[in-house]
Amino acid sequence: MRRGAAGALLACALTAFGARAIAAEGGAGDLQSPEQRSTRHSAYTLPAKLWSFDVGALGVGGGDVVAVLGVSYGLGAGVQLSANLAHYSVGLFNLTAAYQFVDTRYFALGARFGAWYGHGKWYWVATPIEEKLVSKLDVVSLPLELTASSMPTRWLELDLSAAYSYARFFGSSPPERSVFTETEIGLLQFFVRPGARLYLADHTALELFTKLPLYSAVPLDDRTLKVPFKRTWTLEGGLRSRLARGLFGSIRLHYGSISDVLYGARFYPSFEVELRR
Amino acid sequence: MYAPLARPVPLKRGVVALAAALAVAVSARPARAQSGAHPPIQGFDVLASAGWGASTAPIGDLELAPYGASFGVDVGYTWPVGFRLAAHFDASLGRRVLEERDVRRGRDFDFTADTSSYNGGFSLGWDLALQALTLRYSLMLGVTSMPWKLVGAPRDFVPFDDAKNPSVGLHVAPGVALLWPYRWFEAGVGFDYLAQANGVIPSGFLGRVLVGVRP
Repeated sequence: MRRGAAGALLACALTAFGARAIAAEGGAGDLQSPEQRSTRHSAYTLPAKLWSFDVGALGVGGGDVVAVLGVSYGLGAGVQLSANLAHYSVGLFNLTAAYQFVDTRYFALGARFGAWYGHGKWYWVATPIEEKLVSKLDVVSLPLELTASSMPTRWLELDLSAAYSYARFFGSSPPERSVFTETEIGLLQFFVRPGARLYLADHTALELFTKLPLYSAVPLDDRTLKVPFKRTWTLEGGLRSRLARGLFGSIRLHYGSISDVLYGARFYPSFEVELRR
Repeated sequence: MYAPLARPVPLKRGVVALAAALAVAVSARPARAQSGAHPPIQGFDVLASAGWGASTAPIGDLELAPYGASFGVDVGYTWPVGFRLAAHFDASLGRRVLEERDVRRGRDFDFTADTSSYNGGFSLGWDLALQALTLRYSLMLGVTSMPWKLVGAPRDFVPFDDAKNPSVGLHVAPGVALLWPYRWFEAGVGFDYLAQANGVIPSGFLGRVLVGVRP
């Protein structure tokens, strides 16, 4: 009888274990969960005590242009700090603080504030002519961004950002075109960026964004030189997936004049791998 | 301490064991159903591809089309976690492009730029089960060789600075494919963007149809 009870107990345990295995499989959470949702172009920030490490290349945005070796940390209370260390290696020092101050089931609001300092003398990856141009030039950029994100259904997320970037050059008279203006780090700019994420599965999302600058200008010594819309707008589409627990991959295709300036083609790809721990 | 292994199983205990096995089987079935009846992604696969590629930028003022109709083969191994390591080789037939030159000194002339390309290397990838399909991310790293011929150009015309024939350079190619695996067979569509490091070889976008086997 005792053995029969033990067998029944074993059966219950096995059944329970089976159920737990299913829960673990399906309960890894989806890309909309706080630990997994994308913080790129969204109002969301990393949860408390969560680290994020990014490796990527061929990006076109100010923060991920050319190469990404990013580190982010969730401090808690919706605050996150991040930096792209790859840019430090070429004299572009940067730190971004993000704060998600509204977090409801269907709607979130967040703000981002960045501080960039580019020391032209340490920019060593340009051509000799470009190096000479920027060697006596320093730039300070202070981007401020407000983003609203909404998840009206389980398969859709809508994002809308409004951003202003202040920039000022120091040192010798800045030229109208330099590596700082081409990468848009040294631009005065106000833009809006609408976007959408379609969740195709619990581990994969299709992301579409467009950056629409309403005002772009190069701050010269005596005036500001306006940059036309056709040289600053961009369109991007890509896929983001959870490859394994805590590991995410993205591939994007970008279209815009900035891709042409950076890589010689208006239409260009970028990729990124992110580890969250 | 331990019960002898060969002891006959009493009926009561047999029923309990059967119930336990049934319970495990029943609880395991939804787990399998959740994974979308997807065949295991682990193992070798060999894919043949045919597609079309287009250059995404000119080289200076020269339009080159070294991609066009493209054929390739890809052999790889996928680990159970989804990571895939593969080798690839592609041949692109390219096409001829008529170029017109209005020169300041001498006579204007037209010529045809005839280019093709060969790409080979290895690729890092990740396979994900997407319902009954497989979503494959890949990052190809390799070498491109672009033979070129300028038909009808004057002998002293230099199209590129210090360009060897064939021009050879490294490429990085992120790509995505969507595959439908069915038993030992798989087929799908995908794209790769060949970002070229050599300034003489234009970067290109390749769309492909893929057919392969999973032995």
